[in-house]
Amino acid sequence: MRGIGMLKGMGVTGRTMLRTLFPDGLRKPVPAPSRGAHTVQYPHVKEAPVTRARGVIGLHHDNCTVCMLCARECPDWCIYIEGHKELAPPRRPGGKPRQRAKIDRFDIDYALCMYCGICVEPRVRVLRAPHRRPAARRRPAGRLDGDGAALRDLRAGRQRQAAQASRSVPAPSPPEHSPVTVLGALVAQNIAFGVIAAIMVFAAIRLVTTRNVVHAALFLVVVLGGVAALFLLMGAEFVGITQILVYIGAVVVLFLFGIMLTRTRIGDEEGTDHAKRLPAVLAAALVATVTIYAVVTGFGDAELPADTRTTTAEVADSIFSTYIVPFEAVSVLLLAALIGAIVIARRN
Amino acid sequence: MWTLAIELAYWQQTAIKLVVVALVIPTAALILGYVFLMKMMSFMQSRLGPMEAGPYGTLQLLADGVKFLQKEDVFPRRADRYVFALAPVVVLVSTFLLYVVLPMGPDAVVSSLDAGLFFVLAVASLSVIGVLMAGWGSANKYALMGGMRAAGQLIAYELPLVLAAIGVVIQAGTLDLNKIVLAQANGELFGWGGMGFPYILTQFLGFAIFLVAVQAELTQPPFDMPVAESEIVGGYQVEYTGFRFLFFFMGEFGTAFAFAGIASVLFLGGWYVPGLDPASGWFNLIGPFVMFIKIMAVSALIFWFRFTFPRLREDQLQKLAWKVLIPLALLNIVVTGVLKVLV
Repeated sequence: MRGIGMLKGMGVTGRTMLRTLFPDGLRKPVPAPSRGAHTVQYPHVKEAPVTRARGVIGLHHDNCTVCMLCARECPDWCIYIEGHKELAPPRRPGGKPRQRAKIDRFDIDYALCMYCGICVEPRVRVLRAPHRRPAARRRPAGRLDGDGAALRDLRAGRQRQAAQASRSVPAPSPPEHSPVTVLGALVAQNIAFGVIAAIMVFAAIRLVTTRNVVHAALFLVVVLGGVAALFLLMGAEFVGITQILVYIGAVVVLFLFGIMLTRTRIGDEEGTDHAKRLPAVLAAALVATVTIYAVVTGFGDAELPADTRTTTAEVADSIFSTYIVPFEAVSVLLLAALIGAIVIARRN
Repeated sequence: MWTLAIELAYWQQTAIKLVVVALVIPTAALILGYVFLMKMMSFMQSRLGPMEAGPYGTLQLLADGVKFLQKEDVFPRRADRYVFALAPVVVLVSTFLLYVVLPMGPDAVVSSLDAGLFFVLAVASLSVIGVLMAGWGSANKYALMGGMRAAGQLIAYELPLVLAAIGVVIQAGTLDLNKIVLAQANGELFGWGGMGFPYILTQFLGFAIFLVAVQAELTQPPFDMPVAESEIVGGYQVEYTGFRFLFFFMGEFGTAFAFAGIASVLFLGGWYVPGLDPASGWFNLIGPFVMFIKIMAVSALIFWFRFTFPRLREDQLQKLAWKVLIPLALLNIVVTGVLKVLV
C-alpha cells in the first residue's frame, strides 16, 4: 500500500525532528537542538580539519624566491606574480652585497583557479595550508597575508566594475489616498454604486477598445467583479459569490488559458479591430435602449424594500421547489454539453 | 453573560477590523515561516536553521523582509508592465479576502456572511487570475509555463477542496462558518454533550482530502511544480524581485494560515473548547487563542507533509486530483447525505 509507505516517510521526518529537538530522548524532554543537530554553527564553532584536508592555496611569503615556477606551471595561468631584485647586506663583512629577489605582487585569480595543486609541487614554494579553509575569511585587519589581500583586491576591482555597470532606479512613491468621509448607510450605498458603476463603465469601454487581447480579458475580470459587487450591494450574497466563482474563477481563467496557449504576444495585436464600427455602435445603442426601456417601464418609481437581503437557504428553497423544473432542465443541458465535449475531444 | 461594554460606530468597527486583518496577515506569514519553514524543517533535517538574527534566529524573516524592501524594483524590458505589477497585488487581495469570514469567536469576525464557506472558496479562486497575470506579464517562457501549471493545478484542486467541504455543510446544514462552529459545539457524541461533536470524527476522509487539496492550492511541495526551481527556474515568480516577491511570499503563507483556520473551523470545532457554554461571550476573548492553537496544529500537519515528500510529476498531480481525490470526495458526499437522511 502506498499510503503506508507515505506514513512511514512522515514517521522518519517526525523522528528526526524529535531527535534533533530532544537529544536526550523523550524521557527527558529538554529542548536542546544545538546538541541534537548534526551540523556545526560554523563561525562560532570550528571543526578541526580532517588530516587529509587539502585546504586552499596560499603563499608562504618568506620562502618565496620569485622563481615564477608556480605561474609557469599553472594550467589556468591564474597566478600573477611580480618581483624585483634588491641588494641585501653582505653576509661577511667586506664582502659584496648580495642580490635578492623580492616579491611585489602575488595574486591568484580564484575565479579561474581549479585547485589542482600543481603549483604546490615540492620545488615550488606555494603551499597548501590545511589550516586555512575557504569559508574562513574573517581575519582581523593587519594580519592579512598575501592571498587574503589579493582576494580583496580582486573583489574590490569587481565591485568597482559592477558599480559602474548598474545605475539604480529610485522606486516610485506610492500614491496618496484621500481621507474617508463618514456618511449615512443609504447615501453610502448610492456612492458605492456610483463608484462601482464608473469603474465598470471604464473597464467595459477599455475592454472593447484595447487591442491587447490579454488586457481585454483582464478588463472583463473588472467588469464581472463589478457585477458581483453590485449583487453584494443589493444583498444578493449567494448570487454575487457565484458570480465570482463561476465567471472570474472559471470562465475568464479559461479565456486566459486559451489566449496564452495560442500564439499571443505581449503588446498590441494586429487584426483585433473591426471595420464595421457604425453597425457595432448602433447594435450597442439598440441593446442599451431596449434594456433601459424595459427596466424603466417595468419598475417605474418603485422603491426597493429597505432590506433586500436573501439568505442562501431561501435561494436553495426556491431552486428546489418553485424552479425545480428549469433547474433540472439546465442540469440536463449542462450534462449533455459535458458529454458532447468529451466525445469531440476523444475523437481526435 | 459578558458583553462588550463599548459601542462603536460602524465605520469605527470597520476601521478596527481592517487594521487587525492588515496586521494579522504579515504576522501569520512570519509565525508560520519561522516556526515551520525555518525551524521545523531544519529539525527534520537534523540542522538548526537560522540562528544569527535575534535569539534563535527569530528575527530572520524580518531581516529578510527588510532586505526585500531595499531591493531594486526590476521590470523585465519586454514585460507587460501593468499586468506584471498588479499580479502580486491580486494574489495578496485574494488572501486578504479569505480573512473576511474567518471566525475567531462568536462576534470576533470581520463579517459573518450567510454563505461564508462559499465565499471562501470563491475568493480563493481569485488567486488563479493573479498567477496567470504574473506568468504572462513576465514575458518569460518559464514564467508562462509556471503560470499555466499553476492555473491547471489550482483549477484541478479547487474541486476536491469544495467537495470535501460539502460533507461538513451537509452535516451542519449551513454555509455560515460561525453556525458550523455552533453546530459542532452543540452536537452530542452518543447522547453525551460534554465535548461537542467535532466533525473530524465523521468527516475524517473529508479532512484528509481537504488538507491535500489545500497543499496543492498553496503550490507547496509535493505539489510545487508551478514554482519548481529545478524544472522551470521558479515558474511565475522567476522575474519578481523585492517587495513584489515579498507579496507572493506573504500571500502563500497568509493563505496557508487562513486555510488552516478554515480547516479547523470545519473539522475541529473552530473557536470552541469543551467545558464552556458556546453562547458565552468569553469566547470572543479566548476564541482567538483557541483558534491559534488549532491553526498551528493543522499547519504543523500541512508542513510536516510538505517537508517529507519529494515533488510529484505534472501528470501524477492531475491523476491524483481527478482519479483519486474527486471520486473519494463524491463518495464521501453520497455517504454523508444518505446517513444524514437516515440518522
